[in-house]
Amino acid sequence: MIEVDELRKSYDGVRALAGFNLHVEAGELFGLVGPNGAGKTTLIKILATLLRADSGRARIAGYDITQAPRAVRRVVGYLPDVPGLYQDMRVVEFLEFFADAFHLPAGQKRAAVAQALEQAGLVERRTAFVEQLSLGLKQRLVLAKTLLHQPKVLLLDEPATGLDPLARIELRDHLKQLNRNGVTILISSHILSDLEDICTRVALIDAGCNATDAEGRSVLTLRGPEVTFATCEIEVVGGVEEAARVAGTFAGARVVESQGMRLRVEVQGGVAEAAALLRHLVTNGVGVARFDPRGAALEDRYRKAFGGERP
Amino acid sequence: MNPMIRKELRQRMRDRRAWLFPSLYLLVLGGAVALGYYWVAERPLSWFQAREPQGADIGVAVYYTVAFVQMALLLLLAPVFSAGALTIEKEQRTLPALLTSLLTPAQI
Repeated sequence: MIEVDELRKSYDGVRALAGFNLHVEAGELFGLVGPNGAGKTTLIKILATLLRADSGRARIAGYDITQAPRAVRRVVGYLPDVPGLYQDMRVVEFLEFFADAFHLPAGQKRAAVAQALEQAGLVERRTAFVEQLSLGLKQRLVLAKTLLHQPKVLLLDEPATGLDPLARIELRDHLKQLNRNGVTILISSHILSDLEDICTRVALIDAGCNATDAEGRSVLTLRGPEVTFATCEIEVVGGVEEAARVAGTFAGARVVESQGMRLRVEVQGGVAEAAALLRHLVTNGVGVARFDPRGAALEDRYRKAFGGERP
Repeated sequence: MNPMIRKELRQRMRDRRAWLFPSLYLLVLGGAVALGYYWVAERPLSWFQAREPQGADIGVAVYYTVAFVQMALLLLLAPVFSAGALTIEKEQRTLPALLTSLLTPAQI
C-alpha cells in the first residue's frame, strides 16, 4: 500500500532523508521510530504530498506521489504533529468546511459530517466553538476531519503529542478500530509503549536512512507468526531470587532483569510459550501478581538500535 | 461557491469589527464619488468647457470615478488580504490541511 524507494531530501544542504526505503502492506498498522531529526516528519510530509523529494520514488495505493498528487490526496488522510484548527469556527462548521474541501457531494457531506461528529463524540457540542474544546476533544475533532473523505491510508505524525493518558488510550483504541475496518496506518511516535500496543511492524530510521537493531533488522515485527521470542514482565509475591531461579529452569527462558519484585524474562517462541512459562512458575510455587507477555520489548530493541544515549 | 471564500466571509463577519472595513471602503469610495461630482458639476467654466455640465456628463464622471477607484482599491487590497490570509493560515498551522485537501492552489 505504501512503497518508498531510495527517497532523498535535503534542506539547504542539510540531509533529512538519505535513501530511505519502506514497504507497508495493505491493512497494516505500521510504526516509524527514531530519534529527533531522524527524518520521520520529512518522510510523512513527502508521502502526504506537502514536500517534494529530491530523488527516489514513493507510491501510495498504486499512485505515484509526484505524478498523481491529487489522486494520492484522495486516498490519504494526514494528521501533522501539531494540527491546526480554526478556533473561531463552530465544530460543525469546521467539519463542513473540510467536507467541502474534499468536494463531497451534498448528501454524502451531511452523512460524513454526522458520522464524524458521532465518532468523535461531539454530537452534543456540534455548535460549540473549536476554541472551547479540550486538547483531547480537539485531537478527536482533527482525526474526525482527517477521516471525512474515508481515506484508505492514514499518515499520523506524533498524534499523541500533548494528550493526557485517557485521551491517549482513546486514540489508540480508535486507531485499532480504524485498522480493523481496513485502513492502513503509518504512525510515527516517540511513545514506544503505544506503538508496541497497536503496531504490527515498526521501521527504524536514523539520519534519514534505515537504521538497524542489534540483529541487523531495520523492520521489527511485533506481532504475527514471525515473532520468535517474547519478553515477559513479571511481578512476583515473595522472593524474586527464587522466582528467577524457577524461571531459569524453563526451557528456552532467560532472565534478563530482576529487580525488587519484578522480573523480566525472555522466552523463545510466542504467546503460547509465554503462557507455558506462567504455568511453570505457578506450578512451581511462585506467587505471580502480574504477568505481561509483551513480545520483544520495543524499548530494549530501540535502546540497542540507537545506542541508549538518546531518548 | 469556493469553500475558502465561504470560510473567510464567515470568519471575518464574526469579528466584532467586521463592520469597520466595509464602512471604510464605502467611505473612501463615497468620498471619491463626491469629489468627482463636484469636479464636474461645480467647478467654474473654463476655456475648454463650452457649456454648463449636463446630467449625462455627471453620470459619466460618477461612473468612471466609481470604476477606477474600485479597481485601484481592489488592486491595492486584494494582495494585502490574500497575503494576510495565507500568513494567518501558516501561523495557526492550518495551511498543511488545506494543501493536502482537494482544494486547488487557485482556490486557496
